Amino acid sequence: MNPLTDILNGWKARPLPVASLMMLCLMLSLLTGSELWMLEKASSEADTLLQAWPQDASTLLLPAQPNPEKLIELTQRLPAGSWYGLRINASTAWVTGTLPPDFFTGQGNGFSPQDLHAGEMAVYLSAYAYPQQIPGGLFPFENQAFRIYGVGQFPLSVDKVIPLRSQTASIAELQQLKIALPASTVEPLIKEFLQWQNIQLIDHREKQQLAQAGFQKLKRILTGITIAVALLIAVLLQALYQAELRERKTEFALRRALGATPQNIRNQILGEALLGSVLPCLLGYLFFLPLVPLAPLLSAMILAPAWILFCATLPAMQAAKLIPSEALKGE
Amino acid sequence: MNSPRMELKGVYRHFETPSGNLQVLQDVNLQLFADDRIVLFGPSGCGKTTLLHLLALLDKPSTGTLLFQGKDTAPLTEKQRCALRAHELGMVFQQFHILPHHSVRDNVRLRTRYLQESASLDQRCEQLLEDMGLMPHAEKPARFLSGGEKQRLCIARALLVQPSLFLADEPTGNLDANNAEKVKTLFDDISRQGAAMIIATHDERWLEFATRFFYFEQGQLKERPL
Ligand SMILES: Nc1ncnc2c1ncn2[C@@H]1O[C@H](COP(=O)(O)OP(=O)(O)OP(=O)(O)O)[C@@H](O)[C@H]1O
Ligand SMILES: [Mg+2]
Repeated sequence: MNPLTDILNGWKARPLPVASLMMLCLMLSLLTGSELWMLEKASSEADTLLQAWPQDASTLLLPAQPNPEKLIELTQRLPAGSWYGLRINASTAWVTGTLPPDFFTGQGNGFSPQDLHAGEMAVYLSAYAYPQQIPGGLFPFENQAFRIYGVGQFPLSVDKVIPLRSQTASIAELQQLKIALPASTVEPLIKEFLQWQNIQLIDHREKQQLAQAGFQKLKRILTGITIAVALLIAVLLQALYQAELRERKTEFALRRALGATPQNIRNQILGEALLGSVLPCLLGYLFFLPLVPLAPLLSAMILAPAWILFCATLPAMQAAKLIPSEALKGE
Repeated sequence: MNSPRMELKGVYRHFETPSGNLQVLQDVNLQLFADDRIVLFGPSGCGKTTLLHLLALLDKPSTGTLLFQGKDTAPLTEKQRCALRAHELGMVFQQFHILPHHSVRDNVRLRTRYLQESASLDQRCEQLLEDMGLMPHAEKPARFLSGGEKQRLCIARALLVQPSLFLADEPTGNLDANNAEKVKTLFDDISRQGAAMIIATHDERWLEFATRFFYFEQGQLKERPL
């Protein structure tokens, strides 16, 4: 006789337990599938978050009230001849790090930072927009007087440089500065200055690490839930199998009387378990096919029936061990 | 000399029950030869089924030895016992034990699941269905059979391989005289084909079929000349 017809006929004999076993398998696949889906969702969400914080940039959170005294203090500590700038172009500003020694003079005007008067800020003007202006003169802009340190091709708009040695760096109105340097490469002196100014330097790498840590935590939680679900299903499956196989003692004893070995019986039960779990699991996971990448889904499709087989193994071995005579005497 | 198919030497079988040790078989000695047709009588609960199960290798004696074709069965592995059951033993159970949702034919053929070589048995299966008058029911799920039909199904199932030892526990309990006669003729054939046979029954009609007659007395098996 064909083993498959043997199993299918056996199923007809007990539709209810077989249906509940299949429902459990479906439940297992749906629960683990949705966990895979959540995991996928969380990881893609984390990816977009990470992309929003590029690795090579940091953010300066500026305090409402800068501390001018601290600024002066820093000025005195800065080594002679080195310049640090907050460069402001249109709406964004960024710390340039150390200004190259020829930052001002390199514009070809013989302008030097020492030429700045106390409280002044410097601007670079577009020759196209302001052909009348000459370097060294004052330029009214945003209700302030700026010392023109250069007029040239670039940029088209007004390019302000606030040398940090200037005590009046007016950054009060700015709330947030994006700087084009990773926080780790911001020089210690700048960092010190920022600290004195109560400016918070937000390292995006730190944020990324935080986001990644959060994602890892979520992953761990989901894994924990998956394990809990698998264990719960295992307990239910065990109980169901035990009850089911106890009911079928006479059948197994009869098969043993006709020559079945304990291995035959065990294999029959495991075969039934495999056949009964593959279909519902496949069905359950198919549901997640468009939502979850193929690789984890495929491994789940293999792992779930394997888990169910594992759960059936102990009851199957117990059922295979029975003494035929005892079960055959009763009804 | 003709050596016995099966031999019991000083076999005891007792069961642990909540109310104590229940001694069912006591010092059973029996030699079963190829041409034996043994009929086993005894009141209900005396241990007929217990003895048949021991002979069918479904159970093991508490003490004593059980030899199959001259070889002690105690050292056999479970696998070897299973092979003997598959190839050498046919038993008709008192409570039938059919697979209710399998067809009658599949019930008769069930043993082939556990045989290496089973192609040659298809024809025998059809022959047995014919002999047992089950041909019209061959495709039916076995649960729809009447009591007598179930009994005949069990006999056909036990005979699928030519057993060297055939055991029947109340084989005609549910049969009318006509069908009982048919069964007797069939058993006659089986016996002629070389199966040692032991029939546990309350049915006096088997006495004329028997070559030896046994009965139970206080757990001991006694033989009475016919
Ligand atoms: N596994 C067992 N555990 C406990 N007691 C058992 C067991 N098997 C049989 N018995 C007891 O052993 C005795 C003999 O049982 P057995 O089934 O062999 O009787 P029997 O002669 O076949 O009776 P019947 O003619 O009613 O079928 C009975 O009293 C029964 O209750
Ligand atoms: Mg009995």
